[in-house]
Order: sequence, then structure tokens, then C-alpha cells
Amino acid sequence: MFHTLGRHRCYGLVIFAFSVSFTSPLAAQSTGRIIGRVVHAESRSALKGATVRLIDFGHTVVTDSAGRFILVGVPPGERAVEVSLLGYRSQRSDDLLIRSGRATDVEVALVPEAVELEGVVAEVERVRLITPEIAATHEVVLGEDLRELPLDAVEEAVELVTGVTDGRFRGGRVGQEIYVLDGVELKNQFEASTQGLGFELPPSALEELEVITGGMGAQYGSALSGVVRYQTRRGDPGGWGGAVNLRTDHVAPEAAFTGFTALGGGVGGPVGLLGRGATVRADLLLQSMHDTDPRSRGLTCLQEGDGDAELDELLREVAASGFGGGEAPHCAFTPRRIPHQQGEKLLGFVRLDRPVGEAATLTGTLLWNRLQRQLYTPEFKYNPTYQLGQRTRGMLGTVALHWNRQRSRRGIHVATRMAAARLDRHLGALDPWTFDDRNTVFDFGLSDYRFLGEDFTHKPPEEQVAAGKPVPGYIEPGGSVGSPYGPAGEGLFSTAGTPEIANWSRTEFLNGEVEAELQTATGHQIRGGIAGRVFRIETYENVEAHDPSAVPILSSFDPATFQAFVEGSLAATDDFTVRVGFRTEGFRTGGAVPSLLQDSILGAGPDDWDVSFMPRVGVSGPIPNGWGTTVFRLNYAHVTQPPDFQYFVDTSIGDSLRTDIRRQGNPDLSFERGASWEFAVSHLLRDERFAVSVVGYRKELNNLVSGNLPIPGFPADQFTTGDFGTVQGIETSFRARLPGLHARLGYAAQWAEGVTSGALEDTLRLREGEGRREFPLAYDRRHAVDLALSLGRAAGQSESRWGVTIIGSAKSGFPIDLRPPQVAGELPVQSVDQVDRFPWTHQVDLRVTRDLGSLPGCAGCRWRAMADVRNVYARDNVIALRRDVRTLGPSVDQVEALAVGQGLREPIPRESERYSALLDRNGDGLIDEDEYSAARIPAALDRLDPSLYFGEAFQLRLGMEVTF
Amino acid sequence: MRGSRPVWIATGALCTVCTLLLLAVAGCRDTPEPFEAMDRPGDTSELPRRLTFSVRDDRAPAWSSSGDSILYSGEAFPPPPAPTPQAAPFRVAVTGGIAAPALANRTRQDPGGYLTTPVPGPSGGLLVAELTAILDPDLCPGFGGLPSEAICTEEGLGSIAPELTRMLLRVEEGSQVRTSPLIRFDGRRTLVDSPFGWGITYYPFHGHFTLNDGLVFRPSWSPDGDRVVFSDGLRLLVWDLASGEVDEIPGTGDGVSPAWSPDGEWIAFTRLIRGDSIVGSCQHSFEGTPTCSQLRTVFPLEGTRLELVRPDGTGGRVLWEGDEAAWTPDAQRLVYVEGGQLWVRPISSGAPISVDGTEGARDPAVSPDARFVAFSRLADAGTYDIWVTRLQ
Repeated sequence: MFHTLGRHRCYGLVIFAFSVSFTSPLAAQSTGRIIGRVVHAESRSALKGATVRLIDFGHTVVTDSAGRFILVGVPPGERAVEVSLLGYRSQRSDDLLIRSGRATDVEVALVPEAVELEGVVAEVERVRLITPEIAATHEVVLGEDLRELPLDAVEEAVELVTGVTDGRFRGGRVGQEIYVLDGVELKNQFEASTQGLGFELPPSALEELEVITGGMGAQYGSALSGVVRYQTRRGDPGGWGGAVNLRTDHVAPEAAFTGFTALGGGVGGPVGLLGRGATVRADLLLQSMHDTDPRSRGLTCLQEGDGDAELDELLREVAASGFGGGEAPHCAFTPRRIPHQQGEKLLGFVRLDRPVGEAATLTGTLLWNRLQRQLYTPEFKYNPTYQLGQRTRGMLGTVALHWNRQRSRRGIHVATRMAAARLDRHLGALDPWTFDDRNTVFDFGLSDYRFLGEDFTHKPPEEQVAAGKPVPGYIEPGGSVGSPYGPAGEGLFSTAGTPEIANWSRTEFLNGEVEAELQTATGHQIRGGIAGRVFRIETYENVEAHDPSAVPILSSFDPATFQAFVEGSLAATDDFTVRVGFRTEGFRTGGAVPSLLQDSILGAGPDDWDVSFMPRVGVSGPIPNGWGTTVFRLNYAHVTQPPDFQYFVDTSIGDSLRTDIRRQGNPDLSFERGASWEFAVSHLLRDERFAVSVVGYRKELNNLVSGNLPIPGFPADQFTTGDFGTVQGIETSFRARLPGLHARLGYAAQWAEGVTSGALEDTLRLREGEGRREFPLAYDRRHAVDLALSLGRAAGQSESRWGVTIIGSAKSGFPIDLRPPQVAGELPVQSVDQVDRFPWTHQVDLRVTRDLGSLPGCAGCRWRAMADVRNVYARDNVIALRRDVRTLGPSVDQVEALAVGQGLREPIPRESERYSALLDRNGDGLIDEDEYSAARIPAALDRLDPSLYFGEAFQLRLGMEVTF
Repeated sequence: MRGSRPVWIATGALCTVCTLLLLAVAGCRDTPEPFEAMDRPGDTSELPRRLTFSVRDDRAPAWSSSGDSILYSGEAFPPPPAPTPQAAPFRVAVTGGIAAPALANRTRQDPGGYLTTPVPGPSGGLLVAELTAILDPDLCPGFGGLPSEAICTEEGLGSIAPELTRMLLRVEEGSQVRTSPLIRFDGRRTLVDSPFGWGITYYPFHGHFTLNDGLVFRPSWSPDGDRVVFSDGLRLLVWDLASGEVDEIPGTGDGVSPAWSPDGEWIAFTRLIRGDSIVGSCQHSFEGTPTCSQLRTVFPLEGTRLELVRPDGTGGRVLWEGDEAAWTPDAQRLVYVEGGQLWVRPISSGAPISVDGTEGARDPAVSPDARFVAFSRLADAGTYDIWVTRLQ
């Protein structure tokens, strides 16, 4: 018989025969531990000498005189533990949930052999609503729960966490978070701020996902704003099992169809050939998409109401003009699905685990990714041949050796990890072969997308320049036919030629780290580690690849980073936990840039190390003399992160269509720094089935590198690394775990502001108050509400055949500045009123599953049907606006300015390739100036279509899953 | 759910299910169709059919060997920044549509010269005549290209101001180019021991060229593709491609616009009828300042007559009044210009039959199947366009 341990009497969950809780500070390990006590079932006295054995893994320990034991280095997942003692009936639990970096606390009550007791129902509550002993703000999504969510990518689950919106953690910019895969810290250190992690895991490969938004421990280095921790599944040593699922919307009604098909799954089990206890697990996800980014209004065009009254009037005039013969001549081509957005995703993951002797385990993983897609651009939408595309190929391999030393009251765990990765990204004009001749099945192909001149761009730049020719295949964009406006679309649409850019980057790194921890059965812990990483980064960019005289920029450098930390965690009386950590981190830009053909920004010397030291402190525990169900935590952390290495070579990188944030480089190439405080209170309600938490935080961000909106009248066009800002906010969450119902509701409010300064200003002086002006940081989303609701089988109610999961979010808009046209000779007016906000967005997604029982013909298999609905209410969420007018539509002045073309030098005859019958209104075989001008306005309106200004489309996907 | 059974059993079951599911969606919907440009109307059965609409001259149509398209010489538009007009050969479908350049690197916007009278060869290659305009139309030394006024002693002497040319025949096939010797037409001569430093004789072809815009030099392939007959305005010449030699056909004085018959037996051509010569002097001046004097001799054009001659100059035979003859494929009839329209008439005997809808037509060319005739026609804008109509 298993019981909770006494020291968690206040917060232990409803425990019957077997219960668990988690008792330790967070850690980034890829293993967990079991801390427990073995007692006599009736007298509750400690039993010394009981053997505790982790089945299938060989971990064994004997209890001490107080009945205590600790098992370290336990692989995460559902594990089986058996406790035996001569004269007692052995106890066994087969589904003890072990989580990486955590201690699972158990109490085992043994019954004497001679005593006859009725069997005890083992009800296990494995996930706790609050964790008083953990001094961090975090949320955990178990792999099995993750797979019940109507999501396409693991990253979308991260968005469900309170405090995370659009990849931004608590007001930080994209890229200020790190990712940890099975204990290995990952970050796309080259271009995290624009490309994110760069790697993606198949959802089926995950054992659990944890998102930490505050109180990151000393182990986490470059996490200025958050940590996302992935723990992958390992093969079950007890037998083979797995699942395969297929989802598609090809059978959905047209209104809900976007061309999505996904085939995924995984299989794992023992591999006897590799030795006793060796296991393998393999997961694969194949996705094909007609539209990789389906928008709610599809390929739409301007409508009345999208702009001001003047634009409405113009639209009516165009409709009345008779050009094109339709009611909306500027909407000549508006399929619901956006063309030229086709894409594929191939994710594969293999994990191999093998015991090495009695005390060690060797783990190897291999992750490979291939994400490739077309990138819709309005100016190329009428180009039948050439489109912009991007392909990312990633390969990550890790090898880890975990060594454990067990004693009754303490355990030592040492992990040594090596990782090597390569991330290749190519952005450029796609070779038409990709869509004309490439072999595909259900729109998915095994071969890579091809890009024009890809091989050429990888030649030494000197050879490229000496060749004196454009990147092979590139053609100057232009064209005067092919759009619905014929020659009137000239200069507005590139119906011929290729996109101009050819760009690639390659990031390779080799990582080595050693980490050791000493843990006691009473919950104390001391840990430390050291890690180093060397990079090899190459980048190439030719922004006018069709021009033989264009000089490409190719840079190559070898940065390096190192980290070291030590952290102690003291589990004091009455469940107080104090965690104190210290961390140092350094980086260097690394070497010369031998192949650079144009200037780049290189501030610090290539071999100079920039080193940072940072303390981190956290306290958590119950509120003294509280109501017994209220806990608190307090955190302070000094955090730093090396700049994205792309700042070494880029001086100005556009952030996005929406915000137009300009990253202005980091001339000092210094750390981005920050300091954060947070205080949180959590309270359990009604038999601990409900929990409410409130977190308040404040974060200072220094050396921003980028951030503010460029406010008219302020010298914001050049940032310095002296800029600074603050983020403060409140997060509240409500959780409920009832039989057949799990719910979480979160609300986050934040204020993120910073100074705006220029290259010639002393921001340190600004810090003292004189002349200091602060504006909302570009990623300052004020309000965000998240909801996740699981019902029936999705909430673990195995007797129910139906499972329902609902996730929803409502978010206030990011700030947007106003850039009115500047009057010649006049300075822009300074005004904070120039800052406005995008409208709120709302979205609800739904998954419904129906268990169909055993699969006919396969008695050991079960199958179920599933239906995913995205954006249930088919809401048109506006996520972008035009900066100058803050509307979807442009001003009439903008339209007319765009419509001014080069005019006609003489009429265009019918035999000309520039001729369009649509423009030849009088049918005389010639397009004259009047006919040309009449089509120019609708062409300009079409060019300014707001298709990409909307959020996700309404989609319905139907699928089937088989488990075995 | 775990199982200890062989993996392949479960995997097989899964594959079956997945296959069934995939079959269920076998009607996989297509990716969004990109916009397809509908730039111009399709085929029109209406005849006569106008194929070009340019506000610049399109002349000298010739049929492709397959008969599905027509080659012609089109002047550049918009005009390139060149001192003289430029033209290049183009190909347009007989149903109409885009006229594509018939030669590489000779685009509409940049023809790179004045290439005219494209004629596809029997064994491949495209024959064109490259004309080089002389910038001194009045042959007044030192004032090339400048506007000058000629004051002449006799009426009629000043009415002719041709842009005299030189011509080079080119046969282009891929990257291979064969060219004829340079052909001169200027009729210019230096007057020795004369107060008139320059003399010039205007032959009938000058007037024909100037006033009627006739492509009098029109080359024509022999059926075997070994030779080309053409005119230098004063006679017919044959260019032997193998030897590169150019020889005169005897008895073809003032012969222009030759057409080699499809059976190789005959060459039809236009004989320009000379009138009595006028001789006099002209004084050229630029902004009132005399610049030079010329002695001019002008042979006016009195008429045009179609004749036949064998390639060796024998068997000459006068046919009838007309101009710019084109053979039908059976070598029995000629389509020609007379009285401002096209006619068709057997060379043996028979009355001429007018071709309907060809008022204002020039430069006839008969299709390989003899069902259609292509021609150029003066449009309202005062320039020629290419047309096609049925040949009765």
C-alpha cells in the first residue's frame, strides 16, 4: 500500500493507495527521481531493509533505518516500481509518473504476509495543481495531454501558457527564450529573433513539455524571458507499442478546406540485439499543406469598410467604371485559399537507450527536420512560374551518458552530454521543377525543394564575382502581362522574372556539457555543471541575384559560448524551499570574416570574451499561518543572453509585416541583460481540486538591441545597446481537475515599455531622468486570456468513449505607431498619441474524439476517430494594419501614388505581349492611354490587398488514430 | 496499448487502415490554381482577319512551312532611340495572338537594325534582308542627316528623295549565319571635271521604293534551298549559297520583287516601266545657306508589269500588268497586286479573279495549302498591318 509522505500533508493530493507528488527545484535534467519512505501498513512505523526496485531498469535501493530511500536517474514516463521485504507482501505500481528534473514523492505501506487485507483501489492523481516546493512559474503539458489538443505543432502548445503570446514570453522579444531538449540547451543563436528555434519535434515524440516563464534556475543560461523544455519518450522496455494517426481536411466542406494532410505516429519497444534493457523509439510526422498559413479571409481584396470613406468612394467608382466587367474589378483573382503557399513538413526523431552496466545509461537521439514552403508575396501572385520559397533542414544528434550512484538517503547523478547540430536555411526563388516535376503523393514529396542557382551561391564569393553573371536561373522581375490588368499591372505585379533574393545560412554547433547533482531523500540538492559550445556560422545574401554586377555578402565566423553554474536547493522545515544559484556565461564573436565582400558590423574583437555573472535566488513554501492550502514563491534573477549572431552581419533586419520593427544591429555585440523579480501566491480550493494562482513580476531589460516602435519625431531609427526598458505584469490562472473535466483559465496583463534613443544620445543620461521618454515596446500585448478545457476521455476518463478538448484565447493587440506622411521641410510632430493598438483577437479551437474500441483484425489495437476544428467561430482576426493609416486599407493617396506608372509611350497593339483584351475596351486592337489609366487604379488596389493581415482560417480536419 | 505480438502484425494492420483512409481521400483536391491570364480573345473565324495592330509598319508576310503562322517584318514599338527606323522579323499565329520574335536577340524593343522580308527556307533557316539606311538621303557631303532643301531646275527632279540603302541578305539558322555580299543601290556617282561635284541617277525602282514603300528587293528561295533570287532595283540577281557568288539573270533589267515558282521552273517578277528621263540640277541649302549642287537624272516610273523568266534568263514571258506576284503552291497561279487590291490568275490562261476583302493590300503570300493569302494593308493610322483572308 502506497501513501503520501507526511511532509506534504498540506498540499498532498487526494491520495488513496498510491500517490505521488513532486518535490524539488526545477532542473534541466533528462531524468527524474523517486524519493520515498516505506512503512508498516498498520503501525506506520518505518521499515528498514526494504528493497525498492525500478522494474525494467535495474535501479535498486534499500531503505535506511527511517524507511527512507531515493532512486535517482529514473527515466521519465510511466514507470513500474516494486517494493519488497521479507515477511511482507510485495507492493507494485505500474504507472508511476516520473518527470524529468523532478522528484516523485511516494510512501509505500507494506502489509505483513500473515495479514489478510482487502484489496485497495489504487487511484492515482498524478498531476498536481500547485507545486509549493518549486520556485518557478511554469506549466507542464504531459505528452498524452498534448496529443489531445487540436494543434499542428508543439509550439502551439507553448502559446497556451499564460504569459506567452505569439512566441513572446512576458513581454520579451522572440528569441529571448531557450529550448531544452532532453537536458541539452538549444538555441538558434544565429537568428533566433527572426527564425525561432529552427528545430521542431513530432508531437508523438514528447513525454512532456514544460514552459517556464519566471524564476528560471541558474542552469538556464540564455533564457532572458523563458524556457521551453522538451522531454522525449523512450521505448517501453516492457514491450512494443505505438500509434499512427492520419488527419486531413480533404474530406471537409470547401468552406473548411485548406489542403492539410498529416500522417504521424511513433513506435517503440525493447531491442534485444543491443543488450538487455535497450530500447528504441522512433517518431515521424509528415505534413503537406496547400496553404501553410491559411488566413481567415483567404486571398481577399479590399472591401468597403477596410479603409476610410474616401477609399470606399474610390472602390465604388472603380466598380462603376466597368473595367473588368465585374462589381469589384480590383478583385480579379480571389480564391479562398491563398495560392503559392504550398509547403511540407517532415519531422523525424529516433531515440535509443541502452543500460551501461548497473549504474549508467547511454542515450542517443537523432532529430531531423525538413520544413519547406512557398512564401506568398502579393507582387508575385500572378507569376505562373517563379515564387519565393524557403527550406529549412535541421539535423541534431545527441549522446548522453547518465551515471547514478545510489545510497539509501542520497543519490548522485552525473550526466555527460554531447550534441552536434546543423541547421541549413535557404531562402530564394524556387526552381519550377519543384512543382512541375517533383514526385509527390498527397502533395508530399520525399525530395527537397530546389532553388535556382543554389549550387552557385555556395561557391566561393570570389568565383561568383569573377563569373560576372547573375545567380543562374534568376531573371529580373517585371513583366507586363499575366496579371488581370495586363500592362496596367506593370510595376505592380511581377508576372515574369524571379524574386530577387538569394539567401542562405548554415549554423553548425558542437556542444559538450557535464552536470552533476547530489540529492538527498529529504529533498536537499546541490547541482553544478559546465558547458561549452562552438559554432560555425556561414551566411550568404544576394539581394539582387538577377544582376550580374550585384555583389553578394558572404560571411563566415566561429563564435563560441561557455556556461557554468552551481545551485543549491534546501528543503527546509514546513516545506519551505530555498534555492540559491550562481551562473557565469561568456561568448566571443569568433574569428575573422574572411569572405565578407561588403561591410558588416563587427564591433568587439573576434577573440575577445564577453563574460557575465549572474545570481539567482528563489524561495517557495506555504504562507505561514495561512489556511494550509496557500503557498507562495519569490524569485529574483539576473539574466543575460548573448546577442543573436546575426547582429554580427546585419545592420537592419525587418521583423515582420505587422510591426516593422527594425533590428538595428548591436554595435557593441554585448550581452542583452535583464533582472527580474516575481512574487506569486497559489491557493487550493474545494478538496484541492481547484487552484488559483496570482503572479506579479517586474523585469528590467537592458541592452535591448531592438524593441521600441519607431515613433515619429524621436530618433528611434538607430538603437544602441544602451537602450533599456521594463516589463511588469500580473498573471492569474484558475485550474480545475475533476473526474472527466480538466480546465485551465489564465489571464495575463503586462506593460512593456522602453526608452527610444538615437546613436548620438547617451542613454545612460536618459536613465537618470533627463529627457527620458518611454513608449510601449513593440511586443507589448497588454491583455491575454487563455482557456483549455478537456472533457471525458480527453480528461483521463477512460470509461468514456468521447473526448472533447477546447482551447481558446483572447488577446488585446500589439501596439502600432502611426507614420503620417512627412511634410517636406517640417519635422514630424512628437506625440505619444501616435501609438495605437491593434484590435483584440479571439480564437477557439476544438477537438472531438470518439473511441471505436478494438480495431477489427487486430485484437491488440484500438482505434478512434477525431475531428479538429480550428477557429470554430470563423472569426476574421486582424493581426496587421497599415502603419500610416491604421486601417486594413490604404489611403486613396497611397493608391493613386502607386497607380502612377510610367505611362504608355504609344498604344499597345494586340500582337504585343503586353496586350490585354480586358483593357482594350473599344476592341480596336490597341490599348491607348485612357484605357491603360482606367485599369491602373484597380491594379493598385489589388496590389494593396490585405490578405496577410488576418489570423487563422476556419478549418475542419477529420482523422483516425490507431494505437497498438 | 502495449502488446508483445510481433510488430509487423500491428504495423500491417495500421498500414491497411491508413491505406483505406488514404483511398477515402483519393479524390484529393488540387492546390489552389494560380491565376491564368486571359490576355486576348482566342481564335476568330472571321475573315479577313487582322493579325497586327501596331501603329508602325508591319510588312512582307510569309508563311511558315507548316502554315500555322505567318512571319513578317515589324517596325519596333515603342521606337528605340535610334536615328532611323528599326525592324525585325516576327512570327504570329494565323489565328492571331502574340507576335514573337522570329530571331533570337531581335526583340521588338531592340531589333538591332532593319531586318525585313523574312522568308523561311525550304530546308530550314530564315532568310532576311538587312537594310542599312544612308543618313545622307540627298547625297550632300558633310551634312548627313541635316534637313536641307533642294531647289531644282526642272520640275520633278526634287520630288524624289529616297533613303538609299545597302542590303545584306542573311540566312540565320540557330547560331549559324550566312550572309551575301553587300548589295549597293545608291546610283551615286562622282562627276569629274564638273561644277557639280556629285551626280545621282534616280531609276524607276527609287520612285517605287519611295512613293509606294515597296520592298522591291524581295528575296525568294529556290525550291531546293540552294539559291536565292532577289533584286537590286535594276535587275534580278541570284545568290548561290554554296559558292557565295551573286550572278545577274540576263534580261531582267528594272526587274524587282522576284518570286521563284514552287516547281523551280520560273521566276515571276515585276518589270518597272521606265519613262523618259529628266535631267537637271539641284541646289541644296541648309537654313538658306547653299551647301552643294547635284546633277540629277530621273527615270520616272510609268507602270509595272508582271513577267516570267527561267532562272537562267531564258524563256522570258510577259504576263500582264501587276506587281508583287506570289505563287500558289501548285505553281499554276499568281496572286498579285493590281489596282489597289489582290487578284489571282493562272499563268497559262484565264481571267483574273479578285480576292475579296483585300482593298489596299500589298505583299501577298499564299499559304502552303493554298487556302489563305496573307498580305499587308494600309490602316487608318497610315501604316501597314498584316492580314489574312481566304483565297478563292
